[in-house]
Amino acid sequence: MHKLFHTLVVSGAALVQGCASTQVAAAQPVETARAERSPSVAATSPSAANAAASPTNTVSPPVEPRAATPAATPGSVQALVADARSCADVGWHTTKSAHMWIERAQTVTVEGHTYSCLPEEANRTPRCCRQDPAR
Amino acid sequence: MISVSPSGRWGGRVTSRPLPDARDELDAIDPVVRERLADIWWTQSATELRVATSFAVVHRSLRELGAEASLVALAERAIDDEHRHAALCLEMATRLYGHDVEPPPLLPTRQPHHREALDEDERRALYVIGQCALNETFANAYLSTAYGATKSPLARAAINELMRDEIDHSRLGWAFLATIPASKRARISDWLVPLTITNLREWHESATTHTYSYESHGIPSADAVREALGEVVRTVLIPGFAHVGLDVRALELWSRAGMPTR
Repeated sequence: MHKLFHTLVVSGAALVQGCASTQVAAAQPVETARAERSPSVAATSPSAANAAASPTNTVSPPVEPRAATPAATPGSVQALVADARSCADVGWHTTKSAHMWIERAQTVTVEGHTYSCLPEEANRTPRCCRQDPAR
Repeated sequence: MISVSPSGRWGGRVTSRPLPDARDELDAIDPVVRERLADIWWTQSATELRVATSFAVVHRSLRELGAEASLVALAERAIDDEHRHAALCLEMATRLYGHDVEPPPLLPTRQPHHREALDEDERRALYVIGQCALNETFANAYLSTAYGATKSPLARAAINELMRDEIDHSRLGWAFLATIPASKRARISDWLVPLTITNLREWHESATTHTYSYESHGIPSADAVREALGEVVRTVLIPGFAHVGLDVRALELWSRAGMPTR
């Protein structure tokens, strides 16, 4: 996996080498707009967790020594997960979800229309898609 | 038919080079296993095609953000790449079934909304980061694991073709992250935990719940995938985000707690 870091991250960032913004700038004040708009999130959000370890309340560039990561507690981690649910809702579809669909498509006919049905991901409902007549 | 653009990466061809004939290899596979492998590739054809829709969102986002032309062009190519992947998977299914097979139906799509984004530009940036830097990096971890264990020349060739594109798709995300101005890094840092948790949850649900393993044919076990996903968080995502100047302390905290997603 270490090889992937260079293949993806280092090579990827190098695609835009020369952009001024790739240079790590001086520490910037942490913006906590998401927390400010939602006080209930403020105490548990990643920005709070990030800032908690930093007495200067700044983002440290990776080239500089960073404050230690705060110790995880069950409550703090649960809060991060709960916050993730509220602000990022779902992740992007994966391309490698074939495992869930071992069965070939079943077809059903409803009111004269034929549908191909696949069992969508685990714990979710089957998906039926109307067949393209051209196929 | 799954359409492939003549102006795509390989000039309208599905792969950079033809897949090996592999007739002897296919004949030697247990018929029951062969049928299941065919089912898996056939279904993956559907899921690859679905991700073309995701890249259409990424392409539009980069264009509207005024991103570098090379990144916009790569995102546009990625849409066709996913069509080629779908066609490749269908070709694999056809060979394994031993007869022609109909393309899978189009699957319904959904995407993150990021309702708490500060504005549309931040939301667009999150789309690019979530789909490319995260989702495609996880995909590379999956494919690396699959490639490393398979002994099948046919599967190795197919996985290699997929990886060649997925690497570029992931790099697109990391390149974009490297262009984010310092003034916006704090806010993007704030999103790393939510983005990672929700995407890892998708991977756990879609690729780590099966109970079989055909590792020698390019289909890794659930345990192997789960391990690879965790490792890529620790060795690629966290150091990667730090590499582009983001604050990863909350992500490290979550990682050390075992990366819970629920």
